[in-house]
Amino acid sequence: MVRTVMVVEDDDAIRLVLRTNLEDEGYRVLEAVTAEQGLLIMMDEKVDVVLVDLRLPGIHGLDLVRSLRATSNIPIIIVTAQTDSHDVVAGLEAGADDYVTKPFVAKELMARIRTQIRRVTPHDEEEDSTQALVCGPIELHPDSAEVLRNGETVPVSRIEFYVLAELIGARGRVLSRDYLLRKVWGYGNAGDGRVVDNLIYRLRNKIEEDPANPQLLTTVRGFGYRMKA
Amino acid sequence: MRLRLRTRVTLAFALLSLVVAGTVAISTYAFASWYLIGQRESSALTRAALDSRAVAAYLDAGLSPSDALTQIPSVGLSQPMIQQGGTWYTSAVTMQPDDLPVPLLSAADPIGASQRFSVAGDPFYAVAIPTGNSMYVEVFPLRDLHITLTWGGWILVALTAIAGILGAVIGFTAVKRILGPVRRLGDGAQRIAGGELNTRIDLTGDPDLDPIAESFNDMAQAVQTRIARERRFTGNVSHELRSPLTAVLGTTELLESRRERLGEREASLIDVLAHQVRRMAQMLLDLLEISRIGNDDPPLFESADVAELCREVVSARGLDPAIVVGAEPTIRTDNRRFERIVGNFVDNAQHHGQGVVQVEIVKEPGTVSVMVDDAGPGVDPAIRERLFEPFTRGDKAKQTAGAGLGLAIALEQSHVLGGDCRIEDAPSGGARFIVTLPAPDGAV
Repeated sequence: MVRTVMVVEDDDAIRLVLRTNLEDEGYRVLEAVTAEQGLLIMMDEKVDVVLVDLRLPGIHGLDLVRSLRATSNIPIIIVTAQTDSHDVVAGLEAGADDYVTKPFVAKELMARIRTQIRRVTPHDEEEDSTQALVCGPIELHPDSAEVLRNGETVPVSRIEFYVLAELIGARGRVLSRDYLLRKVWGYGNAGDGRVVDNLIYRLRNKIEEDPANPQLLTTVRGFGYRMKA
Repeated sequence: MRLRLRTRVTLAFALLSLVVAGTVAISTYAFASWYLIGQRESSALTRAALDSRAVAAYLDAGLSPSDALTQIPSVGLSQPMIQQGGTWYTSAVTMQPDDLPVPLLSAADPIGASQRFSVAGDPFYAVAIPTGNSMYVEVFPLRDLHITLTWGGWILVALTAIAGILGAVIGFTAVKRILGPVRRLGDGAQRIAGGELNTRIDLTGDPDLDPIAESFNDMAQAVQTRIARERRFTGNVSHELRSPLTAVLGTTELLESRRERLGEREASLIDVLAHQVRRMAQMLLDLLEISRIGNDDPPLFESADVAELCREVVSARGLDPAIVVGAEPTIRTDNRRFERIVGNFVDNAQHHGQGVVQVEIVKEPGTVSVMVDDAGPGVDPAIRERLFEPFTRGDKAKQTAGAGLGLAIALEQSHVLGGDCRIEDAPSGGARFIVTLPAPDGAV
């Protein structure tokens, strides 16, 4: 099944590089030069992953991320100018799942895109992949990629699903940010832990009774995260 | 040989003090001496004159010399004597007539004479006055005066010495007071040279010293501003280059992946292009990093498997992960920065050290060290510190990637992580680059 990637980038040269790399990987590529164009495309097409450069003319890339996130769980990777707090944190908080900085290594980016849309696999490969993962009021169904809380469906993005699957599958073991970045996000080397922190924050808002005092998904300072066994 | 300022000033003050005090002391002593002795002699003369007239009267009245002597009121400790017809008559026995100085007696005619003399070390003053056919002599002891003057003299000497010492102390303190601010200025300059650009000298309110301190502070501020501006400029320029570099790097890598479709000449051209573009990209990233250390995202400390990260750094560069040996500790640190430091060491070894020999991890109480050994000729101890400065490179480092920032970045990032870097000799003969990070025991 051919996956579709939308690239929202105003720099022609960079857009060409991205397009070529993506097509080499076998993706179908849709291009947008502005945020508005991107939104228009999203209305008509089924897109699997979105790449957004934050520095766009007109509507800022952040607003595009927010609009997209408001209506769907589609994986979003932002392209930022620098790693300093403002751009990255703002982008993650707006709903992005991952980020790369210019100049980026195309191969790395491709690997990260791949993990965003791969089929979900439970933490322990030997287990029956159709078996539901349960943790307290939370139920995870790998076959249907559904998450239920007290029997009710919780809309989660792909990445959120993967992370939950890993955490529940770990049966109470602590998973470090580094581990999650490599396993779920597809990082080949040490990455930015804030990407994980941001997603955990979003997850807690969705699955916890009181997100400010998490009971199911807890932080183990200096080590990582764990879910109740 | 010229003495130091402090000694010179101290000696000068001491000398001045001694001279002044000494002059005063000597004058005082001389005057006191002259005056007191003069007074004593003058009163002695008067006394003797009076007594001689009284004696003359008694003798005329027919008293014997001995009786006449007893009639003289004894005032003070003087010893009256009468010589009549070759015989000496005296009441007290303190002095023998034989002890009287001869010149005195011979000079006594006709109006009298006086003389100072000493007997067995004691000073005396004798007045001889002829009375009729006899000689009246009165001897006044000067011992007490002599003792007083001697005591006084020694006290003056002591006071002079004390004045000299006081002078030295004052001189010493004065120099210290002046050298103090000067030294502070020197320390300030030293700290700025060492990199603490916000060093400033406090103003004390002293109108003589404050202008100097202000000048210093102005200079420091100017230097700091200029360096900050240059860093910002470098940062801005580098930042602007991000997008074009992304495009260039991206297209070059794509061409590289399509090598087989190109002719041989074109393929080698692409190889050259790719190599140079990667160099540029690395330089840019290094420049960006070093211009922003301290201003970029804060470090995230979490548990890190040191050996695993090292193996990863090594594999990413196409090397055998088995060269990572030693301990397998877990520490709390920022993974990305850690990989950057070790990565820079490995790159340095590869490009300038003729290859990495091994990466050894050492765990010690409170710290963990990663040591990267290369196969090169080692690093001269004299330039080891300088290698960690930006843009400093060894001799042969021209053709290879990097702007000479890799080690500078490694050092600064190690400081961000609470550790440090240094160079030693590797047992295998090459250079050993070491990064040491804190690993409080029991905290992980």
